[in-house]
Amino acid sequence: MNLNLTQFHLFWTLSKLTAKRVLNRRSTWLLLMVGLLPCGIFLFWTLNKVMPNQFDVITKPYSIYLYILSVYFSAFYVPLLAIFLGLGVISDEIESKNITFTLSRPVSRFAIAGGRYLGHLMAAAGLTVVSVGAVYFANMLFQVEDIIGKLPNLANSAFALCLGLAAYLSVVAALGTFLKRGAILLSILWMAFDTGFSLIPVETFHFISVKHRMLASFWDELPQFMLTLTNIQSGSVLLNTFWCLALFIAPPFLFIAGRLSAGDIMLSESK
Amino acid sequence: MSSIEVRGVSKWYGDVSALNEINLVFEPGILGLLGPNGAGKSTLLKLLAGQLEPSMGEVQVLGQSFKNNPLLFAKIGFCPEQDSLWEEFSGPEFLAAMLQLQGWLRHDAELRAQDLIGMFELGHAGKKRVGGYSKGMRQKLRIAQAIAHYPKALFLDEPMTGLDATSRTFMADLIQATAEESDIIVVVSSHILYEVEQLTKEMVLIHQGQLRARGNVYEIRELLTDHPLQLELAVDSPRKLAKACLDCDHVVQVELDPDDPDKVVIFTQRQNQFFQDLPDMLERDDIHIKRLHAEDEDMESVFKYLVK
Repeated sequence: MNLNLTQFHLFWTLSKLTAKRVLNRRSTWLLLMVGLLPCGIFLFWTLNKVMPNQFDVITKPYSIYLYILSVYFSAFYVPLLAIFLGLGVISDEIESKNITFTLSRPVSRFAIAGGRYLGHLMAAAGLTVVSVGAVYFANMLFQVEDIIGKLPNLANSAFALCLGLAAYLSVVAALGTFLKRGAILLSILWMAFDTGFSLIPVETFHFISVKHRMLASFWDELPQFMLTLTNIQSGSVLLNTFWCLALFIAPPFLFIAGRLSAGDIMLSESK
Repeated sequence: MSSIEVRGVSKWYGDVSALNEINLVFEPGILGLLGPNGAGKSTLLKLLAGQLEPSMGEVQVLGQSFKNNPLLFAKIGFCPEQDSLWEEFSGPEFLAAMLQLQGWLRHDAELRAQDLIGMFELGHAGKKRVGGYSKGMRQKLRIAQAIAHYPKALFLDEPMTGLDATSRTFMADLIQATAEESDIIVVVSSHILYEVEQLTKEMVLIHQGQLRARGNVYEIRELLTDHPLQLELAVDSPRKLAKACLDCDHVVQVELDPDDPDKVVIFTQRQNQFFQDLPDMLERDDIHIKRLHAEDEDMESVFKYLVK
């Protein structure tokens, strides 16, 4: 029997299995439906073309696409996914006691924390990419404007949203792991403050705002109101990725992995 | 080294002591871990399976410690007590996933999972998710994941819970065959003496976190001879049953309840013999049974008696 007992292989296997578990849940498909909701706006655009007097849609379609990205996805959908999926990264497993099955395998506790996090991120990123892609292609399908040339921008915007998702998910996962009660409320409060910080045109606040870093990673020109409000300099993807990793992704993850390795989590669960 | 050594192990949860100064050596074969609820059996099994670290003392499994040694888990199998599974997967998917986390390659894991599904008679469930499995099927799956990767040490926490009589016999045979063929260490915990007796004659008794006795089931039975098992039966002809029971040498007392005309309370010193004789008595005297309740079936009352 060929066995591969390297920690990287086991970590990657756990990530894939976790993503599969998340995608197999009915609630995940409901989240996808929520992500696909903005596609409906293009139906209105088409109806507006057919019956111009019935609907007063005057914005250019590609602008609609950017509005959807910068408002609906970054301010609502990505935080929603982070809360729904992030809170359960470790705590769901402990609550259901399913973590026993993972802890009794030759997977290090660091790899368990990493595998669970990455699996949830893969599933959430999948939902985001499909939703953003659907909105983009719906725009194209209804022939409201030729945006085929902007295909790299689709990849960039999907990446920027996934970057924000990774940061939100890591923080929410840490909150969910160590707070038995109040993790949801605290996550919502933090995200509200995070959005607030992104709107204050002061560098210090921008520095600690995931939302700001997410929007600043877009190549596209964001809607004018957003540029006016936040003074975002878009396009610095690498720099924003680095700061997201250093400030929001790595510290909470290391905190979860450290506590799991120290056995604290199992200890409290067994009482 | 193919043994498990527990040396001076204690475990506390805050101020609560779950295990106190346990010293044990486990050699290949099946060993029953008996004790009433809250005795510390599950804590001991979790310590043996590397799920918990001892507050004091040392646990050596197959000559190694679990501390910073995740690869040791590849050599052990653990069936937890709780009724949880990966509900999002079907039975074969769950088993294949567990094997992949043991380092098995996907193709090999899927083949072995199919074998196990056949062996545990779970094939009829097809691709149904385990969330829809019955309690017995879920228990079989938990045991299957523990033995799937051919472990050298197997820890089963209350493995017979939720299984019907046929499945219990099947499972007992399977666990015995696994232990004998592979010459592995199997530790089975239960609070029901009868269940463990089906598997092994070697037992360890735990009560209030302390080791009370270790030995052969017959030696432990000796301790219980003055403590007959109390059974309550409701039948259509209680007097006929009472008379039939009094003819059995292992029945020491029979009581009829004036408040419940159907009820007979029987005190027997040999539970197994009684359950073997009962169908014959019922058939011979044409008695129909309505209800059966074994008052002392769990270890709680036996331990109360032993520590008196």
